[in-house]
Amino acid sequence: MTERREFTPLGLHRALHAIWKVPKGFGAASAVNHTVIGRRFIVTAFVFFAIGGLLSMLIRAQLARPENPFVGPELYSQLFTMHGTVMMFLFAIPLIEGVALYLLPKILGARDLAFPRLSAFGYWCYLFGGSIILASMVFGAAPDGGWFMYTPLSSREYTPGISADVWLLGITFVEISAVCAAVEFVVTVLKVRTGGMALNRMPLMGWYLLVTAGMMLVGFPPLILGSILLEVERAFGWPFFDALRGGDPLLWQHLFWLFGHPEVYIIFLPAAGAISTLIPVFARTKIVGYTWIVAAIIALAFLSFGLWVHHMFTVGIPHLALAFFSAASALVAVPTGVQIFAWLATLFKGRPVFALPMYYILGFFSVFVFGGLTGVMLALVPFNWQAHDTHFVVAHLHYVLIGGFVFPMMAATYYWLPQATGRLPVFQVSKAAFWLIFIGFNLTFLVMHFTGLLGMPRRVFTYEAGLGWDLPNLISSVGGFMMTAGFALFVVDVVLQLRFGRRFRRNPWGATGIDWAMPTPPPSYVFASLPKIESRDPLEDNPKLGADLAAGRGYLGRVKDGRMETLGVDMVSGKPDQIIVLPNNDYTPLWTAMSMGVFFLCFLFSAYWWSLIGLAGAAVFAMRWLWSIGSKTDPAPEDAGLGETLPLHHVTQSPPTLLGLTYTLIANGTLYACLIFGYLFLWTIAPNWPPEEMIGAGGLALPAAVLALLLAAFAAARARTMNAKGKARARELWQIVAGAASLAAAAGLAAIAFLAVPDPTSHGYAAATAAMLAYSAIHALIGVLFSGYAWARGRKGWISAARAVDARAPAIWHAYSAMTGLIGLGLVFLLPHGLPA
Amino acid sequence: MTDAIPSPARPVSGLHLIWLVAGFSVWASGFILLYGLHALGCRWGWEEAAFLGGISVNRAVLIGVYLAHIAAGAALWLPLHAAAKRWPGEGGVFLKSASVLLTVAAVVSTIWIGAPVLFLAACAG
Repeated sequence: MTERREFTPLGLHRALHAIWKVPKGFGAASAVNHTVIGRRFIVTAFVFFAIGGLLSMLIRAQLARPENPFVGPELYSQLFTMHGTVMMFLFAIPLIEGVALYLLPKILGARDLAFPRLSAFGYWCYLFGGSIILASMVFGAAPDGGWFMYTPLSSREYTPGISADVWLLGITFVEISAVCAAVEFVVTVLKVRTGGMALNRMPLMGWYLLVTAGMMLVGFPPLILGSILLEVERAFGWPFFDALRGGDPLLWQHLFWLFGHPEVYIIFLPAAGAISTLIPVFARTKIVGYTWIVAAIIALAFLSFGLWVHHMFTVGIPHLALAFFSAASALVAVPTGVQIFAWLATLFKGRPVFALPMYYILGFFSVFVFGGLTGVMLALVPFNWQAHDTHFVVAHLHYVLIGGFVFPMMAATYYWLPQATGRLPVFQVSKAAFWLIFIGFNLTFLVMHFTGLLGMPRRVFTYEAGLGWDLPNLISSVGGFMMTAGFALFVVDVVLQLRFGRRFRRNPWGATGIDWAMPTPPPSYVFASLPKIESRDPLEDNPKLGADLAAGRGYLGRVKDGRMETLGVDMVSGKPDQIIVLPNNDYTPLWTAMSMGVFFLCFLFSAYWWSLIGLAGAAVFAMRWLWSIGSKTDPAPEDAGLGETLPLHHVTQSPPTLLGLTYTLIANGTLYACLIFGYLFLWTIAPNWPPEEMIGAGGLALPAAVLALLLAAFAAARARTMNAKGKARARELWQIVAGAASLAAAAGLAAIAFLAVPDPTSHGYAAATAAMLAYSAIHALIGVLFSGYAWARGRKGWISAARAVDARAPAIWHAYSAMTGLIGLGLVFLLPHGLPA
Repeated sequence: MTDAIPSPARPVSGLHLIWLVAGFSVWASGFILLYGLHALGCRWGWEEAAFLGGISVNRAVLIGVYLAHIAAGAALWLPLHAAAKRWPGEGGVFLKSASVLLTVAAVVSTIWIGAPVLFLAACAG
C-alpha cells in the first residue's frame, strides 16, 4: 500500500509505463507484451488473409468459364492448395491466437498472460513458418497436394521435390506456435485472473478461449505427429503410409482428420465467444443461459472429437462404424443449437441496437445456420456418398468457416477496434463493405451448392462447356470478386478509422466488462491497478471503475523494485493466492525461434546433420530463457493492496510454470496416444502384414532400459523430496542419479532400436516400432537436460525448499518419460507375441 | 446463500472441475472402445464366432461395452450429487448446474451414438 500512495494517477501511469514499455526501432523485436504480440499476430494473419483471398480470386478467374486457358493444372493445384493452407493454418488459427493474446488479460483483469515470452516465441514461429510456406510460392515450389495432403499423392514417389516438405515442415513450425498458445491460454484463464473473478463470474469469452485452448492441446498433436511421420517417410523411407511395405495411406487420413475436424470448432468457438460477448451489449441486457452456454461449449468440444471419420465416409469403412460418426455428426448440432437459441433469447429479451457489429452478427446467423444445416445433410452417409468431393462440400465448408468465423470476427473487429485505437469507425463505409461481402459471399457459395449437386467435382482446373456448370460458375466468380471488393473496402474502412476516426473517452458501446475499464488505446501495463470483481458486470456495478483503477485503487497499484507484476488466483474461486512476477522484454524467444528455423530449413534441404545445430541452438536458448526466471532468496509475502498479503509465485505450491508443464505433457501425451493408435492401426488394418521379421529379444538392453527409466523417475522424485526437506546436498546427488539413469535409458532404447528392430525402411511394422522407441529415447534425453539444468540451478542457489519449481519439474518429466517408455516397451515387445497380425 | 448449504460445506477446488468433464470422458471412452473393438472384431473374425442365443461375439462385446458405458455415465450421478451438495455459494451452484447438465448430456450422447450396435449389421461395408 505504501508504494501505491507515492503516486498520483499520472505518476503511477508514468512509473508503470517506464517498466512495461516496449522499445522502439530494432529493440521492438524483443517485445513480449501481449498487446504488442497480439496486434502483430492479428495484422500478420490479415496479411495472410489478403494473400489467401488473392489466390481465391485466381481460382475463381480460372473457373469463370469452361475450358479456360488462364492457368494450367499444375499451377491450379498450387493455387487451391495454398489457398486452403493459408486460410486454415496462417489466417484462421493465428487470428484466434492474436485475438486471444490481445484480449485475454484485458477481460480477465490481468496485466499480461502467464508466459509472455512464450507468446513472443509463438509469434516468431508463426512468422517464420508462414514465410517458408509463402516463399515456396515465389520459388515455384509451392505445395500442390491439397490442403489435407493425402498420401500417397504427397509421398515421395508421386510428389518428388520439396513442395510437400515445405507444407509438412512449415505447418509443423506454425503448429508449435499453436501449441504454445494453447498452453499459455489454459494456464492464463485458470490461474492469471484478477481477484474475485470466480469461474462463474468469468466473461463467457474466457470460457470459450479456455475450451478452445484445451481443444488445441489435444487437437493439434495428431497433425504434428502425422506431419513428422510423413516427413520421416519422405526423408528416410520409413513406410508408415506406403501400402506396398505394410504402411497405410488411411493412417494419414485418420491423423489429419483427428486434427482437422476439431479444428473447425477450434476456429468456431472463439468466434462464438465474440458473439456471446457482443449480443448482450447490443441487446442492452444480460446473456440468457450463461450456465447452459458453458455446458454447451464443453459438450461441443468433446463431441467435435467424435466426427473425424465423416470426412472419410467413402474410403470403405463398415456401415456400423459409419453410423457412430454419422450419429455424432448430427448430435453436434445440439450444443451448437443451444448457443444459437441462447443468443436469440438474449436478443428477444433485450432492446437491440443495430450498430455496425450487429450487421455482421445477423450475417453470421443466416450464413452459419445454413452451413450447419448442410453439415447435417453431409452427416448422413447416403447423401455424403453422393456429394463427396463435389463443389457442394466446398460451398458447405465456406458457409461454416466464413459464416462461423469470418463474420463474427468482423463483428469483433468493429467492436474492439475502438478499444485498440481509441477511435470510432466511419460507419457509412463500413456498411457498404458489409453488404458487398454479404451479397458477394452468398452469390459465390449459395450458387456453388447447386454446382456441386450438378456433379462438378472439386479441384478440377477446368470443365467442358454444356455440362450445366457454366452459368453457376460464372455467377460464383462474379460473387467472389464482389466479396473481395467488400474486404478491400473493409481494409480502407479500418485505415480510415485509424486515421480519421472520432476520438472518445471510454466505453463507447456501454459494455459492462473490464476490457473497457481502461484508457483507450490501452497502456502497456493495461491496468494501473487490478480490479476486485464481485459480479459478471463490473462496469455496471461501478461505472467509474476505470478511473478508480487508474488511480491505483485496486490490487498491485504500485511499482516495486522495477518488477512487472500481476495476480495469480485460485482456479475456481478467484481468490488471490500469489503475485506473479513477469519477465521483461527479451530477445531470447526470437533467437530460439530462429534456431528452430535453422532446424526446419536444414531439414527441408536434406541437410539432416546440420539441422541438429538448429536443435542444439534452440535447446541452449531455451535454457537461457528459463535460467533468467526465479529468485536466489526466499521472498517474504507482500502487500498486494485491498487488504491482501500474498507470496511471490516463486514460493507457491501452484506456480504457473508447473501448470504449464502439466498442460504441455497433456499435449505430448496426446501425440504419444496417436502414435500408439498408428502402431495398432497398422497392425490390424494395413495390408501386406505380417512382416517377414519381428523385433528380436533385445538382450540386456531391454532390462537395462526398463531399470534405467524406473531409476530416473525414482531418483528425480527423491531429489524433489530431499529438496522439500531442505537437504540440498542429497537433492543434487539424486538429481545426478536421475540424469545419469535417463542417459542410460536413452542408450538402452537406442540399442534396442539399432540391434533388435528390423530395418525401419523394410516394413511399416519396423518403422512404427522404431518410432515408438525413438519417442521414448528422445524423452529420456530431454530428461537428462531437465536433471542437468536442475542440478546447475541448485548449485547456483536458485532452488530452496520454498523455491521448489526446478526440483519438482524434473520429477514430473521423468515420471512421464518412465510411464510412456514402459508402455512403449510393453507394446513393442509383448504385442508380437500376443496379438494376431 | 450459505445458510442453505448443508454442513459441512467445502470450498470448491480446482480438482472439482473434473466434474465438468467426467461425463463426457466416459462418453469418449465408450466411443473409442466401440470404434476400436468394432474394427478389431471385424478384422479378427469375431463376427463369425457365435455367442449365446446366436448373437455374434462381436455384437455381444459391442453391446456389453455400450451398456457398460451408459451405466457408468449414469452412475456418476451418485458421487456428483454427494460432492455437489457440499459446494457452497454461487460458485458451487454454478458448478453443480453445469456438471449435472454435462453429465446428463453425456449419457444421452452415449445412448444416441452407440445405439446402432443394437440393430445394424456389424461388418458389412
